[in-house]
Amino acid sequence: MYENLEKYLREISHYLAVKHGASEILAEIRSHIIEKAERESSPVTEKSLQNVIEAYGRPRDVAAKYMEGQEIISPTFKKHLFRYTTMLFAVHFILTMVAVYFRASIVAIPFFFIPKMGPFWAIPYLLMALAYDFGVVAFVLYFVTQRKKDARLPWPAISLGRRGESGLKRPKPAVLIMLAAFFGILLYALLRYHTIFFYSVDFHNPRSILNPAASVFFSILFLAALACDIIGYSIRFLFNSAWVPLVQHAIVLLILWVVWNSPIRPQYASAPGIDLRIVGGGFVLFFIVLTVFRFLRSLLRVTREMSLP
Amino acid sequence: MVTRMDPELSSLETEMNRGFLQVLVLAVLERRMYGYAMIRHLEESGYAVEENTLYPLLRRLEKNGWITSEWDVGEDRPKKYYVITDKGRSIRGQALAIWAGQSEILTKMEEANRDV
Repeated sequence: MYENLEKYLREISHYLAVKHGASEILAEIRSHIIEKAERESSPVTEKSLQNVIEAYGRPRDVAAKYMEGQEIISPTFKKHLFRYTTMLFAVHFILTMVAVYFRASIVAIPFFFIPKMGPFWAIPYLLMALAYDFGVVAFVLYFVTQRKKDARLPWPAISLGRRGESGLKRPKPAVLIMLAAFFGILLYALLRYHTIFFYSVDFHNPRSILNPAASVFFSILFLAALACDIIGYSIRFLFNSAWVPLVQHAIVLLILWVVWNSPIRPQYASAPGIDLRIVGGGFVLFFIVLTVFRFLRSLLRVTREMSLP
Repeated sequence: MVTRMDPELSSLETEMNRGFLQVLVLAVLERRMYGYAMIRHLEESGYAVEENTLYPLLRRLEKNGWITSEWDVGEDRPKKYYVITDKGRSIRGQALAIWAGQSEILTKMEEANRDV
């Protein structure tokens, strides 16, 4: 019994992931190393054995050679792994938004368990959900690889640019002008009417959806979010990186968090035939969904920008 | 003076050896032999093979059914002996035919290039 040889074989065994015959492989390597050491120096010493062991190769490399062609997930599924994760996460994200809006749990075990939570906790929850979705897709692709590695899986087309590029388009001056004009109109409305949320377009007698305090507060926050978009868009004329919209959308998300948790409770006006609470809540929910979608798209673009071409 | 092989050529040689070694092992195993004896036999014939390459290859060939093995525990230490199967002989014959065809194409190309 040679201690260094047994230690070497234990190391190989640690990395060796074969279905059958692991002990046979180790027995064959043991037999080979001892015979070679005997031929090189008789009697065999720990030192002569060590020389043969070192020539045989690192345990990790030795084990890897027995596992060639046995990928955990086939390399041809690499793109599927990311695309399927994105799609699954999109569903997870929409359901999370619904759960947050209705303050309810959504359970569809084993696929989803979305607890009742506020919008603030939805952000760390979504990050966790992303890791979970990645794991689920990897798990499925693992089984597909083990059963039939040349299986042809569905491939929905989503354009996100090539590797090493963010896929972000060049900013257009016309868009910036339109955004600035829109901001100007809203700012004018806020200064003149103390609100930007109207349900009547009668310029002589415009009516706000909200009570005066809430109107001013939420209008300012909405304008701040829009200003953030305009600043981000302007910066992209000088520095068109995916990081810019990522930071921009993160700030807008923060503003939305303030909106959701604001101490000012909005009181909705009453209008004949329209439930303004649904209109107001729907608007905020739509804005949150849109912003988180844009944030996640920016996150994907940043990862693509950072990946090697 | 020791001449060191170009790394690109060395990489190409590794690629070429991948298929060659399989056919070579199928040729050697007409005689029942165990791993270390096979390495020494190949070395004596002028072909050096890394031991950590040969054993995984033997396992793959056995999985394909081209060779078969059995443990001999009668000696001072157990040894795993390998020998070619009928399927292995058939594969070897076909592989050699492919090789002869490739060699013929290369010869024709060389001859055609003489005029260039």
